[in-house]
Amino acid sequence: MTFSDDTKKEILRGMLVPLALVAQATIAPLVSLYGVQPSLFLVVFVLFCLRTGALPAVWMGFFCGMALDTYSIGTVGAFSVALTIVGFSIGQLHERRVHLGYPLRVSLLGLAALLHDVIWHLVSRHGLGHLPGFVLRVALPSTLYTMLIGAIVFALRPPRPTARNW
Amino acid sequence: MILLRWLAGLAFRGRELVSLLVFVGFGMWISSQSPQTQSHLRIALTGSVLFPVQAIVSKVVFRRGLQAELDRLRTENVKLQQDKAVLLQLGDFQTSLREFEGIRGNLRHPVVGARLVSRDPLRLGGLWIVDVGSDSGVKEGMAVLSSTGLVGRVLSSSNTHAKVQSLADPDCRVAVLSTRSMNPGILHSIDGSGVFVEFSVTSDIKTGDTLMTWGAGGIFPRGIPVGQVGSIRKTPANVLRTASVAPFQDPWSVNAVFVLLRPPSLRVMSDSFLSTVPGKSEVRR
Repeated sequence: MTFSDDTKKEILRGMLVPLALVAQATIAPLVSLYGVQPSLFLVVFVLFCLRTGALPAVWMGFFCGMALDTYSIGTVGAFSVALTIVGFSIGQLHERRVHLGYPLRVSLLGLAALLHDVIWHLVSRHGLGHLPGFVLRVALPSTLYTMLIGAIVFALRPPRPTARNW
Repeated sequence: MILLRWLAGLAFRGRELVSLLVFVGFGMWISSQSPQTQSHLRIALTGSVLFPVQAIVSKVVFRRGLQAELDRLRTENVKLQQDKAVLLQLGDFQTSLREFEGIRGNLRHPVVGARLVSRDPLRLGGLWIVDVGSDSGVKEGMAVLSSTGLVGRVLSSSNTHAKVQSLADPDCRVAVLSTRSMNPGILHSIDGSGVFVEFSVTSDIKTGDTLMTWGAGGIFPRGIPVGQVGSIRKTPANVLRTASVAPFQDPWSVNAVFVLLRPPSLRVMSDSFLSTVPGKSEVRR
């Protein structure tokens, strides 16, 4: 069975996201600052969503989220719902349709991280009253750290110069 | 049928949205379930869809556990080895104590047990440090014994430790007697590698004789077994004879000793003190 170069790239891209999940579980705690961990997984996942579009992003988000739900202590379904919605949302900005510059990509990553944390908090039923505190104390620092990491990664992996099929 | 086909076409065209709705719906449904149901789902997922992941995770966890266990066992092993070494030393000491109990009744003075802390390498191992001192009543000039025989004498003592001169020290001289003929000799070690007895040609000391302390010097009480006479050779002047002695207590292997708490009956002077006294070049020990 032979694969074309594009297919190989797609497969490799699909494998990178679960690998990022492993990195999130192993490397992220090592680079935490004052207890704030970056979401290495979201950085890779957002890149994946931009490259592949909404449908693969939704599926990838759901299954990775389910894996996270299975191995985390919290409510089952919280991660899967959050990542599915994030995947769908970011996937709408598929590279073939929209060209996003470097600053916009980093901002989008921040939005995605914030959206993910808010959805996770709500689905986990931690209470709407605690949401502002959670966002300020947990989600926002983590988002900023994730954006910093994302800024480095996105600089290493620039977007395609032109949007196709626009 | 037409309606179903239309719905399928619609779902295919909007498959992104359909996927989103299905997955979000499932996620919301499962998150609203009881913890037991969620736990069952976790078990089901790890046993089916996530089985490969679970297998890898289990293997990694197992290996890490094994590594941690190995590290713990290594640390424990080192500690056990240390404990074993200490226990072996204590065991040796206890054996010496038991053996010494047999001859303790023959001694008219109390004894204190001691362990060797170190040997002085510059003196060919002839000088030792033992772990008892003046706090235990150990003083300069006291005899040091083992369960099998004479070992040496105390040269000096601090509060908790004492320096012992063994029979293997080249500066050690002990007056001995043959238990058979009661003829005297001087026990010494030439270079720390062996023990010898020097005696006059008129002394009746033969190969196989057992030597014991004479008690003439005041340090060692009379009658402590020392060793057995080996081969005898003449000195060039044919005035003295020298015989090798096999000590009953090998001074190179002893680890536990006993200090006889008997002050020397004669004043024992150190060599350095003697050198300052005019006309005194040697001392009778």
